[in-house]
Amino acid sequence: MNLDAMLSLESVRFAHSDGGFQLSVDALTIAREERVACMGPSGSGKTTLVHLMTGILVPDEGSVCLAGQELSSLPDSDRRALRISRVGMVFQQFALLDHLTGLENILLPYHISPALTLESGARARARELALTMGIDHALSRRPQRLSQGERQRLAICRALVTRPGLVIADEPTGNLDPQATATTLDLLMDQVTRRGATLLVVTHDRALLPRFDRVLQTTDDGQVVAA
Amino acid sequence: MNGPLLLAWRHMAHHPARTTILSACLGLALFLPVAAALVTDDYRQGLSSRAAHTPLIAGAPGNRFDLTLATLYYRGQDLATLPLSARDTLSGAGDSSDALALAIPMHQRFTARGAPLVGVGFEYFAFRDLSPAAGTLPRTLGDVVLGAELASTLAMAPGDTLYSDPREVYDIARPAALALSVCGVLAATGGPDDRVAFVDINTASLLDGLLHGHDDADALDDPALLGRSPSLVVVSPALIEHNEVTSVNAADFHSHGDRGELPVTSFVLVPHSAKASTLLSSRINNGGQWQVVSPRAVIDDLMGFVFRIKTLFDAVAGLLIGTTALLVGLVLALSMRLRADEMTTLQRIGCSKSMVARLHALELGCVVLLGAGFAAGMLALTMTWLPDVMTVLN
Repeated sequence: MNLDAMLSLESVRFAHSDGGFQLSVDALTIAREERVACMGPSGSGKTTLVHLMTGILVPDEGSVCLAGQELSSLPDSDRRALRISRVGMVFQQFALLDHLTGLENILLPYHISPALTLESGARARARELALTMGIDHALSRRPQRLSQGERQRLAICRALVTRPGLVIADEPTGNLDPQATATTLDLLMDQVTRRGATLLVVTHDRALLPRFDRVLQTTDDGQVVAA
Repeated sequence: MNGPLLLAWRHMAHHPARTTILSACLGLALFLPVAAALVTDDYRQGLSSRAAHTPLIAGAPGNRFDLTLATLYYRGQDLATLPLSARDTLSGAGDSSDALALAIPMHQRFTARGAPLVGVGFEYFAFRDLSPAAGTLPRTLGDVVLGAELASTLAMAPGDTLYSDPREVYDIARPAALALSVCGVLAATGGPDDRVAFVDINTASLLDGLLHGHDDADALDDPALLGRSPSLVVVSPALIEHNEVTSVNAADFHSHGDRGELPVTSFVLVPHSAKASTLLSSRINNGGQWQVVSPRAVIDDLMGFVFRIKTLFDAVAGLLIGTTALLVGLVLALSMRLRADEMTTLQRIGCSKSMVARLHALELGCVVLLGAGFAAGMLALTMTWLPDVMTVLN
């Protein structure tokens, strides 16, 4: 086990229950504070890879270590607790709750898991993040009253508020225009860097690749290779 | 507010129409059977308690329910009458010197300003524990004492005049309305006595026209005089009778027949012992001339009919609750399906399945609580504005 690694996969094999697709990763390590992009054609297993890395899925073979913890050996409840406290996730569709205000959306992880305690520091951090991301005006608003870019920045704040060691963004700019894409990615990378976190971004946008330390490529036959 | 509760509440508040409709449906489904149970229980207690405090009722043969309800609740019924002289027989004093019961006559065929005008023997006030809050009980012919609520409704006090309602406007042999002097107002009892005007049993006979007063027939020399002999003066029915008893004309009131024949509608019998009660009931009922009923038994019979209907109502209410529960379940199931993406996101972030179930359960709990609150509010309003048994009976 590489103690400097935030995430490591060894000899991982995973097949969906319908047997139609199999993902194989012989060896993959992502170091702490590394910024990695992951790209590949649709259906090549990018999302499956992310789910394996975060313990949402458990591999059929091999091991996945997150922050020094072997995920396969943990019960589901512990994997969830580890995920919510150590991993920040950003989704393409933002996945914000319309019935909550911006502040409540940012603090959502604290509302849904006993592994996190909502103390005043978390609230202060949420406000500071919103201010830094330029969406402090959105704290009292519902998501449907915000622009697409503002919503994604709100989602990024939610991913960062727990001070995760790893931030995984699954096509975070897929629904944004080019200007918003640049702004959002700048803010995301800046915040991740400031917090010393590791970043894995799944993207189809080749123009973004130069911003990353490394690029992973998933192939149609389910292999994960360095691009 | 803890996290899951906050999320559940925020989601409900974000869909106010859905939440309100669901809560209202549940509330109504809860309210209807509970209200029916409370109302019937309230009425049953109201009916039973007064019946329990009235040992026996005697009256002319006829419908025992009418006799009982009329005697207990002054319900406007044209009861057949029995003579005042029946008092001796009904009290058991007719064939011995020791009476078995106190027999209190009641007469209720008239109204005043729409309220029952009830003639009673003087003992009735002590029997019902009725005492004046102002003024006195009826002491002379033509006096009337008002129940507390009636006095308030009519805005009357001792010293005012209350006119009886004309019963037979084409009968010129009796005054169209009798002016009654309000001598007192009874203390409130919270029962049917509060909405009644009481007069002495002789005043009731005055209302009936059997006891009356007019100018001295010996001194008449006008067209009202139809004939005169040394022993008899015949006057026209058109002779105007006094329509008010005053200190000046009080001595003019008289009855041309046997005072024992004056009609009463019922007697309240207060036996001196259980044995006396049994003796009286069997003796009078076997005689067949009159009837004696136990109000408690009559009301129990009456409630038996009511509860048979209530059983049917309960079955309908049960179906209503079941249907509503199914509909609420369907709505929540559809809502869960609509929120599947949201729940998947929560689980990807790290929310457990049990927490997701808890969120749904909390929402359901909040809806049920709101529904229960709605039902409780409706129940409070119902019990506050529930008309009492007297109003319902009328």
